[in-house]
Amino acid sequence: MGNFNLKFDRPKISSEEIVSKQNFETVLSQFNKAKPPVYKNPWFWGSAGLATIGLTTIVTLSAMQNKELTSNQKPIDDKTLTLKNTELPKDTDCIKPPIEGENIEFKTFKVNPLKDEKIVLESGTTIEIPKGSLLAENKSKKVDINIREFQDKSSVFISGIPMDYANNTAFESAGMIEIRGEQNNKEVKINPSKPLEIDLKTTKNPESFDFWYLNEKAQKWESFPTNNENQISSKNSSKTNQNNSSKAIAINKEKKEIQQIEVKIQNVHSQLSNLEKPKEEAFKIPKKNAQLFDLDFDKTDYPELATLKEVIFEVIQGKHYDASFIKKNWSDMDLSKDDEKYIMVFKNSKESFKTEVRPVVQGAELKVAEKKFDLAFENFKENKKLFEIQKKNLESDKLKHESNLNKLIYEEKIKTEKRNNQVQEDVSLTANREILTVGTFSNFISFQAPVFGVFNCDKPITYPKPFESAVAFLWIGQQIAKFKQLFIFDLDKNNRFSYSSVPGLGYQSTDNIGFHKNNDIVVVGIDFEGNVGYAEFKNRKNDKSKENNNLDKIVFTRKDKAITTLELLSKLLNEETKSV
Amino acid sequence: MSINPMFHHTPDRLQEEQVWIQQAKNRPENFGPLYKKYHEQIFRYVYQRMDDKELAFDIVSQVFMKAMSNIHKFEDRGVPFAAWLFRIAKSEVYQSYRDNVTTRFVNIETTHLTDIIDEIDEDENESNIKYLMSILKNLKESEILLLEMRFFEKRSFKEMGDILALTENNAKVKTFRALKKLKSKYH
Repeated sequence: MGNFNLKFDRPKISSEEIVSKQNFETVLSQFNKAKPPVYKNPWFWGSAGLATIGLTTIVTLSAMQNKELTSNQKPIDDKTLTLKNTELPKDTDCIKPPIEGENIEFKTFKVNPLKDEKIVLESGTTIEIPKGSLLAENKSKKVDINIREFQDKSSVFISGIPMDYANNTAFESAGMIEIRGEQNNKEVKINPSKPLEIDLKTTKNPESFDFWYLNEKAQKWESFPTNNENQISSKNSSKTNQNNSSKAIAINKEKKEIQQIEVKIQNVHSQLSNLEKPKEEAFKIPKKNAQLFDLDFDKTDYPELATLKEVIFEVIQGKHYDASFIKKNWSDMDLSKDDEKYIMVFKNSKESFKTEVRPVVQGAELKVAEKKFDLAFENFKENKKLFEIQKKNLESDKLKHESNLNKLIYEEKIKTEKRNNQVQEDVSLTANREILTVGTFSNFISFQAPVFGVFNCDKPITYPKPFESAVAFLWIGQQIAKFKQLFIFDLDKNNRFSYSSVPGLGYQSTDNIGFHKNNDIVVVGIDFEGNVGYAEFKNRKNDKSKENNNLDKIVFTRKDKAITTLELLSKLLNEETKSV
Repeated sequence: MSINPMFHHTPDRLQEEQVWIQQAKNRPENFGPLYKKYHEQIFRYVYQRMDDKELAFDIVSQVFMKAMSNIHKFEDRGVPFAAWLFRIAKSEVYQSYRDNVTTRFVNIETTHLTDIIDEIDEDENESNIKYLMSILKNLKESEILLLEMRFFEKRSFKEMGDILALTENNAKVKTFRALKKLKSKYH
């Protein structure tokens, strides 16, 4: 039953009355009073940020001025040859860190645009930068390659990189990298014909994930091809590439099919679990061998029962039910209602006995109720059967596609091995370029980056079903919390769902929050003053109280000011921050 | 079923609205025409969902303040400006339930119930209407919301979809599911 009140035929309110209440001047003056201070204006931080970055660049360049550029064929190891960028990264329209003053720093690597260079990150991720790949204005000066690698939810959150995808889905990430090029504080572009070769370390087998590029202008993730899909690096012949690309398309197609079927199966599964088996109680049908009492009661006290002609009461044999009361003599019976429950009190001169009862019908009304129940039950069985058939068909369809995919991957693996042997024989052609040894079955994903930006190995997961009624947000102490943004971290699904109470942030509304019943959940809220609060729902696998899809309130603990949000999140999410 | 003409615009009026939006983005003082145009619609939306008239007027002011603060973020990406305002209103109404620990109201004119009766192919007699009044409470909030928008506020499925962030088709399917649920209770 819905948590709302119905009101019928309330007196209408005229347009004249509504218009008479219009007062734009008052709204405007309230709006002007509520304007944020100048330091909260994005322009302020934009200008201040640019000035700081400019100053730092001048200082850094002066320090580097006298150093000669040296050719360096050795990989740049982030333990030895990195320059830590002390500035916080710049916000873009698309990437907005949610916590003021906190961000994930880039690491800067100095590379020579006239040489083949290779950067090796601590995680094992490698970035090969072929000679001529960086379109720098000054070819004789080194280019700053700024990198952030993300392998945990906490640092992705702090960075503000959006993790929502179309159609109410959020990404489950297996690894993400942000890579930028800069020289003299100016963006450097990549020559598309000489893309960077990146082997990104993933936290999971990339086979079950897709690969994406963040189109920051359009503010959306776009599917991006990888060498894992192609199985063969672009160093092979064009003919091979043509064959390969048709095979890669077929592999990709199968993967997409499987993914779509999985979403469909998930939907059917959720519809199946939402199917409610009709209960006789709902139709006011008494149970077999139930204890029934006929009682005269004032129907004006119970208007919801007034429409029933032949209502009697059945004793609910709950936990505290004592069957011996039936053998005693009672001189009086009384009906009362306590929070939607009907309570019957039996009294005699010595004692009284209280038990919960429920109204049931008899006679002709019972026959009608039984008929309605039978129909509802038939309907339920029919729907269940249909969903089960649908699920079975989808599963068999999935099996078929999986078998096709395995076949395609196997064929490609064989071809790849043959071609790699060929390439090794012809090693002189590859000059001083390394051959990628990362294969499909290791936890690396190989791709060529013709542009700088954010690349992500991810799988979209559907947003959880919203709770059925509005959830109250409270701080500990019962003070109402007004959150601008809410984030639900699902530790089992390994992803984050984002909600906002302010339209235009591109998130789901905080009115639609919900989470999966059995999963470990951490909820993080940021209020309009920037205060951070959190709530945990963990170890709830056996909690029966969450069987209905409802939650009346979430009580938030305020973040201790002595720790950063990143530290707090890492602890709550049981993560070690692994970003670069 | 008739559709409320209040929610629909001619191309000329839409173009005029685009100019107003651009002007309001430049200066909040220019929001006046949009306020005047949508004040009544937003009030009726809010008041439909609660029982306190004065509170509803306060919420409407809050909705417009939020809209003025965020209008620079509004971009015409297929979601009409009106729907954007209704989404803010929806959010503010739910915030008010939380702030005041009140329950949502659904205000119904019984004359509108005949449209539902008609839609589920039942006889439009008094007993069926009374029965419908008694079973509406059995719906979930998300279901009554759809029927409210469709039958009590007379909105098109397109507009429902824009406000609820659903596709038009999804709004239609969900509404028909709610109607099917009601119909099943008649037999």
